[in-house]
Amino acid sequence: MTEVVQQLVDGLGRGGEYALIALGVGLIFGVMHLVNFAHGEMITVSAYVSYGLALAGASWWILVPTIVLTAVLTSVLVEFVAFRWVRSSSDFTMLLTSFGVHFVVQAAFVMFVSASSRHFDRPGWITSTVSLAGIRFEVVDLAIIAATSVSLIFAVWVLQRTVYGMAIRAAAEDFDTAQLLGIRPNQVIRAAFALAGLLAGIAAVFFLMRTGRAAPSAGLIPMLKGVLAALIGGLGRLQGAVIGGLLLGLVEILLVSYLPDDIDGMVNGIIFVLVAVLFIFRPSGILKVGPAQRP
Amino acid sequence: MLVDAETSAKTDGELLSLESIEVSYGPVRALFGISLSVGSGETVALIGPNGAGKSSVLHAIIGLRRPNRGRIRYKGHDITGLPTQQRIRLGMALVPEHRRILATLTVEENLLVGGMILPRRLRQTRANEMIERFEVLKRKRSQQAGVLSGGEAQQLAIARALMPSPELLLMDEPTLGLAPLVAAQVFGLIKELRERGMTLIVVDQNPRRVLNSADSAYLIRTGHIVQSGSADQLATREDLFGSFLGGSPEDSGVEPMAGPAVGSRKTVETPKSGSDD
Repeated sequence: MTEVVQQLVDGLGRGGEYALIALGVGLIFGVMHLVNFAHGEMITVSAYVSYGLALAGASWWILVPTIVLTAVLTSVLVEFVAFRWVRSSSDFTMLLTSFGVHFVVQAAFVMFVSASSRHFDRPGWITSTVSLAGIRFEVVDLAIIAATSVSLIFAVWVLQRTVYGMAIRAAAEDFDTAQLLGIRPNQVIRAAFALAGLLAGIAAVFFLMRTGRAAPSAGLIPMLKGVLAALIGGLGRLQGAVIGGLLLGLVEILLVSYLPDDIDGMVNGIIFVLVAVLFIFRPSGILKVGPAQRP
Repeated sequence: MLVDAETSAKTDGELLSLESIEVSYGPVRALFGISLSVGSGETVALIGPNGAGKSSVLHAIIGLRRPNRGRIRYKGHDITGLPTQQRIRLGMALVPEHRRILATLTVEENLLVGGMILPRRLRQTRANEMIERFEVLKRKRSQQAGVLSGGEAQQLAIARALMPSPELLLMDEPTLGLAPLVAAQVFGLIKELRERGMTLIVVDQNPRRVLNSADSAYLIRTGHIVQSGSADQLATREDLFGSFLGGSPEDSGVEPMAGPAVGSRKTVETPKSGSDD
């Protein structure tokens, strides 16, 4: 029983990170009909900024807000530099552009920093554990669950309660109608990228705390997991992204825990097979997907 | 208060004009040199058969479709190149065909998004006004708009378009798919807006009904204006109604009209020249 609860908490912690990334992927898909394969670059750029600051002696109190801010700025910058100018092109062009951004950022860090990973100190408490009701939990898992819960509540509040959130949801449902109501395309898309960047930045904080590593492809796996979670939940459905993220995290942790040691390297492969099986029965993911149009 | 009636009393001043507008959808041309004029406080009906180009005229006015040629003037300014959202800020609004209600947003959220261009406090005040004005919106204020019936959704679409107190309201097939009783309610609302001095351009496939609610009218066929004039006088032209039922302009004794349409409320004009295409 104790083991199951620990795994549940571990899975929710991991899933929370994926949910934060998936929510951003879903937001951007909603307003632009784009599966943004450059979404991980926010983590990559944040990782190198953290590495630079850590070298200069900055503490994690400085690194945390810097990582989040870097992710927001990177996200907005990527939208402005890479996507705004091809927005009226086909979905395929947008997809290729997002791959292009990923490879350009990766190549830039290989060329100007190093192809190998750069390590920096993780916070001292990252491996600490705490005992609650006789069960030991990793502090980082509890911190992630708390932070992702607050972040997701904040994101839901922005989307549900503010007029800007309503504008994002309106644009995600029907961009032409949103424009008819006076919503500015550039503004609403920038807001969606900023919010997606904020969520990815919070995920990046914990990802970098766990790994303490900057690498040219640092954001690749988190991005792929985020896209997968968004697909599982139903691409374009924001609630679906959260559900998909949590589910993916739980399944991943359970597989790691219960698979025999000699095949636990196949966890990602098994997850993809499970997702394929899910799509056979629910081709649109867990929640039904509505149409999305790009302005 | 539905509109700022006190400040938009009927005048004879021109609010909007289209000069030789041509619009294409890819290689297919939809409008051929459309010219029309709309006075402030005037209600203009655009009538014509399916596919005539009526909606394309509205889309050109609101900026959803950029003309290949021609010029659009609003309050004396050339707005041909302006994007839709700027035209909305200049005082235009469109009630789109098929309502285009945002189904995943609540009724109140639809209204608030409709008032995006308003200051924050005024936005909520205006939404409350609309909710008070439309009984059905009051009852379903917190429900998702996707559950509304056709008539209810149409009322929401109109209320949403009225949120920023537009000076010029474009209505594209506002009674499409509605039961006769509900359609009559919509035309009752159009009459109310008209009496309050709002400038309206209404597209409807029921020519008699829309002509009864308008000051002037333009008959559009295959992207050309083939008739224009006072709505009262056009309503008496039985030969025109024949053309609605599938006949060609020639069948109805009408030729495509060239050059700027007159938009006169006094006379029915049957131009002698052919199309300028």
